[in-house]
Amino acid sequence: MTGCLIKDLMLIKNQKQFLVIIGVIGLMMLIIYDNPSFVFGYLTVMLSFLPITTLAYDDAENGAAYLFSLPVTRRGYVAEKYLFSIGFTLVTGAVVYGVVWGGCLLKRYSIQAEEMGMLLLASLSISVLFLATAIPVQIRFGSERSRIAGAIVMCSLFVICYGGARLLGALSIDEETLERAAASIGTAGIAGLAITAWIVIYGISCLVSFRLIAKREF
Amino acid sequence: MIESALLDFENVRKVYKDFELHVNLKVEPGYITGLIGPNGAGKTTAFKSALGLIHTDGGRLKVFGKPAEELAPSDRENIGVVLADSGFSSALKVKELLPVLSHLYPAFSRQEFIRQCDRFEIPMEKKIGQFSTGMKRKLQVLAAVSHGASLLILDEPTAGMDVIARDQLLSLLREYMETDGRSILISSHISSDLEGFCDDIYLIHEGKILLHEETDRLLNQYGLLKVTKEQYAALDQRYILKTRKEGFGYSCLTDQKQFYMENYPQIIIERGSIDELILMMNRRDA
Repeated sequence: MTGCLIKDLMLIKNQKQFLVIIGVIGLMMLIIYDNPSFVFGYLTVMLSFLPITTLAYDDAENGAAYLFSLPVTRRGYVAEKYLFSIGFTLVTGAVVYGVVWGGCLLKRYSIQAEEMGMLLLASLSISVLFLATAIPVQIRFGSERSRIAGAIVMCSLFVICYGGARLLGALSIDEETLERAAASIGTAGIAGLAITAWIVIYGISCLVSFRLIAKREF
Repeated sequence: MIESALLDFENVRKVYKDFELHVNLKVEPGYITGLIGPNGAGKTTAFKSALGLIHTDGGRLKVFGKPAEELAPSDRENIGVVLADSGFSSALKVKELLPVLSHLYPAFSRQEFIRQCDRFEIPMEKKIGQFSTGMKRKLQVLAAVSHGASLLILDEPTAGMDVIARDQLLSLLREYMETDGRSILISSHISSDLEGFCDDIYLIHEGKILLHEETDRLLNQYGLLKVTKEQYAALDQRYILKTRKEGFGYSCLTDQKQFYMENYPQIIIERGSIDELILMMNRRDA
């Protein structure tokens, strides 16, 4: 697993241009806008795309066949991808948190730590949901077909979210009701719920990926 | 010898919609075994089966005496691989592979690998995606022999190489074989590579093994008889394996060249070669 981990870090390192571009865009947003929430979400979610690119690189030009002829098990590969993806997302999330916090201090923009924490939680939740969806799609369809499959899955997620919002509306559960419910749970409760949801979603996704990789032929 | 084979295909089957592989093949310790056949014959499918990259539909496939699907990473550390249609990620540089290979293979010799890359003019700082096909193959072969594996599975390792690089690489593989107990399963479309290199050869066509023979016997005892229609009619055909109709009469493949040399001194007999063998075995009888 360590060998694969090093390979993935090398692949990320070689995407310096991508990192620089999203970093520059993020900084520009931080300078232009007073509210850091959008910058925060943008950077965290964009950076969570990077671990997925390592799957595409592995698969490009039938490279996965060679990879699995090395001392790399299919389950070990999947486990490494999930650990690397969540690790990378959490680390970059923390870095973005620091940068945005620093930006707010420089611009003398007052922001509550609790508000920043909620922003971090929301952004990471989107990232986790994205990773939990994109990894099995990439494993099942490979780098070529996964673009189409990924677009279909993302559209499905949008439809589910939109349908959920409509359902809440039909049940007369408005934003205020949700805010009251959130307030009654408290910040720690919301964080706890979110992290539990991450573990459940990510865990299910990982199990699905184990099954998909076992069936795949290279 | 049966149990000691490093690689053992016993009635291994893989069924696709328009192709079926059905193979019996063994790679014995200390042997260099060649797998030859035209494009689409099933060589790569056989290699991928051995490496567990595709699921088989029947038969028994053992590597180091273990079912292929039960191979642990520690077993795979003992195998070196070159694949015809695959390789290291093109986004990486060779120098970036060093820590990866060090962690994948405890016996990886970093200094020796760097030395061989220098010998074979493999640039350390260039992305693999910018390499020629021949350079990519060289890199894979160097990686395959860099960690003391006892079995090499090499699918078209010399593809895309010039004659000098091919010779250098085959020399490297001969050096590799100087250690006892090591074996190689190799395929190549360049028959001269295999004739001078392999101990035994399997001929595969349309997913089936048509012939298995020791290379020395193939080159010394196999021959191609060039006969007219009249000579063909008078020919003892007990030792004729295949016949091909020609403008002058018939070409006949035999594995008893000496018999025909002694009993039919008037007919032309050409030395057996892998190319002729492929051409003859792949055609239907006249």
